[in-house]
Amino acid sequence: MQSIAAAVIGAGALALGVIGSRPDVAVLGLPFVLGFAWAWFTRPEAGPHQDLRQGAHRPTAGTDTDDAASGPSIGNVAADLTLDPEPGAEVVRVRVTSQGHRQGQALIDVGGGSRTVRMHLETARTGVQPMFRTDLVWSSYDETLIAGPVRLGPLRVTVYPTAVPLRRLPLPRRLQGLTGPHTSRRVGDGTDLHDVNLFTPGDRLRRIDWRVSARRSLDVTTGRLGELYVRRTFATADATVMLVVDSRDNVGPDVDTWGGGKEARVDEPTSLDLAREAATSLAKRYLDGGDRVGLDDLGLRRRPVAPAGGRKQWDRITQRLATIAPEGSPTPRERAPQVSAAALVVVFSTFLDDEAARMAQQWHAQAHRVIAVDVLPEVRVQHLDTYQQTAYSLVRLERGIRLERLRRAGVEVVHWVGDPDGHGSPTPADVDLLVLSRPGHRMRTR
Amino acid sequence: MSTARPAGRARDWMFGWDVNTPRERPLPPVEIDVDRWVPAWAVRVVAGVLVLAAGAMLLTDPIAIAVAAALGVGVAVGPQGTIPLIALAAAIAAFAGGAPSPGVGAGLLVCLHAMHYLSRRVAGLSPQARVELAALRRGLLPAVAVQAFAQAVGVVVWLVPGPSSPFTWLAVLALLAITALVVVGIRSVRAAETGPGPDRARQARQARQARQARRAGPARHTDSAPPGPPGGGTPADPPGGDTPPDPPPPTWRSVNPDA
Repeated sequence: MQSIAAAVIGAGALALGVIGSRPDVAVLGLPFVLGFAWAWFTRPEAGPHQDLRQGAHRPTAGTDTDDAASGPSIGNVAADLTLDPEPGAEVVRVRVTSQGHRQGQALIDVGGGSRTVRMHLETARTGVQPMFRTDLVWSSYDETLIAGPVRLGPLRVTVYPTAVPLRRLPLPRRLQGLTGPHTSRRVGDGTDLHDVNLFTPGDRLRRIDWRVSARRSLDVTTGRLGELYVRRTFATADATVMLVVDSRDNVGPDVDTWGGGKEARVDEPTSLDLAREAATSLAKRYLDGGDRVGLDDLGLRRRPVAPAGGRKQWDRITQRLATIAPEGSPTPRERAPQVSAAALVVVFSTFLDDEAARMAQQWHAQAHRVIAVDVLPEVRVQHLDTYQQTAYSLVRLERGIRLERLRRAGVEVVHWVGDPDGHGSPTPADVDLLVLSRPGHRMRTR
Repeated sequence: MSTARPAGRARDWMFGWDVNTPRERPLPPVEIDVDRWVPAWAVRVVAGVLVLAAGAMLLTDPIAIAVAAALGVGVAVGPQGTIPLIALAAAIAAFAGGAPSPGVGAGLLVCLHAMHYLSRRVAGLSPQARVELAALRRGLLPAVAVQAFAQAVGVVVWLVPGPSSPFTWLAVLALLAITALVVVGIRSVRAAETGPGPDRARQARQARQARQARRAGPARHTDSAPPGPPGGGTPADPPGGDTPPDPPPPTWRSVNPDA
């Protein structure tokens, strides 16, 4: 429209020059009239095409343990915008928006033909998120003609949590599998010696200890063996671990955002991001060790991922973890979800209310070993006013009491980010889990 | 904290800054990877300076130059609005109202045309937007040709017969006719490059469809699924994890969507 207006002004200058016998004034209007004429004669005739696709690499985000001092690592998510212009289209104005990000704008040259433009953003959030809502306007010469705006996206991008390497992890009190990487307390096939016992029906012949049998039951007068002895070993078994993620709330580091009136920043992980990361890390470590891992959600009730082992199970778990999110208002549970017998239960929650702690205590009462992983991020309270400070002090106090009750009840508590609000531990989660994994570990019930 | 008296409140307002509370960091940006680029604010500033230069060439009155500077600031702040047009019309009117030298006319021609060229490029873009240098160069050749032609006409009408001769008008009309012929000729050349005139759009569409068929392969909404985990199987796409369907191709028009 402005080009037309400029052409009209140019034509007016021409007319003014004619009327006023001022050719120099007429010359001033000449470029605008000619420019418009050029734009009109070289105008595009067909609509251009565009396409938006997610980048080729798998987006991940999570805490970088190698560089823990610098805070959470940021995942990079990319998308490709393909621009396929028609002859006559010269430039494209592009505006890209994503929730929690400043919009990006650019003027892109498309006069040379089809091209692909890479767009990317950084986020610490995991899960399924709408990203890269793209608006673009095609322009011909001097923006005399435009096409659009065209809206593309937003793409629903799944950002997967990364697995933090962990050294050793605690095991359940009883190992019930028939085979696996750990030594159980049952007698069976294994390598660790249990005892030497009399041969009984059912014992395998290769288990006979001929030296012990000769020493104990050889009748030297007849040269015959009286009784046979066998070496019995501890059986090996795998562990069953049930990961339970509390997806009912998702709070960020800034307490000011907990009320819901303000968005948490996307370059800082929220509690659910930490829960995803912690669960992914534990699942990977257990599955790599040959154990069986399942996943359940304390939020919306749906079928849990049954405990199993193997590579595909890790894919199932990461996929489920990436899709869990706070949904609706789940009704409070009366009883803890059923888990496999003798399973180790790991609960990932912020423990800002009683439900997750109550479930953990119920599982503990059912003779499960329960580890409560506190996934509250390190909180910031600088922007709180006096009333908010008071309210947060009460919430913090209740949380501290809740965690202390869990410890006293025999539930082992691990803080994933160390000390988020003064109720945590000064050691990193990896060290806490290493301590819990020692065989002679006694629970701290201060 | 706050004092009851007005003077105390004013003092608090002026000097009671809270320097201990850290400011909130700016939000992370969405980056668009373009080739060599300049920020849009730089282009806007250049367009505004061109308006100021045009005013300084035309006017000597400080107040008038101040008005030109205000128009320049207006062009830099809002290149998509009517201020560039106002600046253009005001400059032509000021030129018509006086009897400036041919050099001033030539300079004004360059400044106004360049201002219009640059303000059109950054219209509708935020100051932080990235402007590809190639996008600035795109269309520069026709603009320079038009500018050179206009300068040539200016030289003709000022130097050859004198400003009051009817020859100048004949020259203007002749040059306009030549311009139209040049434009039509170049259009014919362009049409010859892409095929016969009426079939140009259809042929371009067919070529594009052939390119897409070669490139795409699977359906597009499956392409938006994230690739599988490293080293293992491919997990299923989450529910609803696909891309919205293709929008229809936009049609060309002369209405600015930002207006």
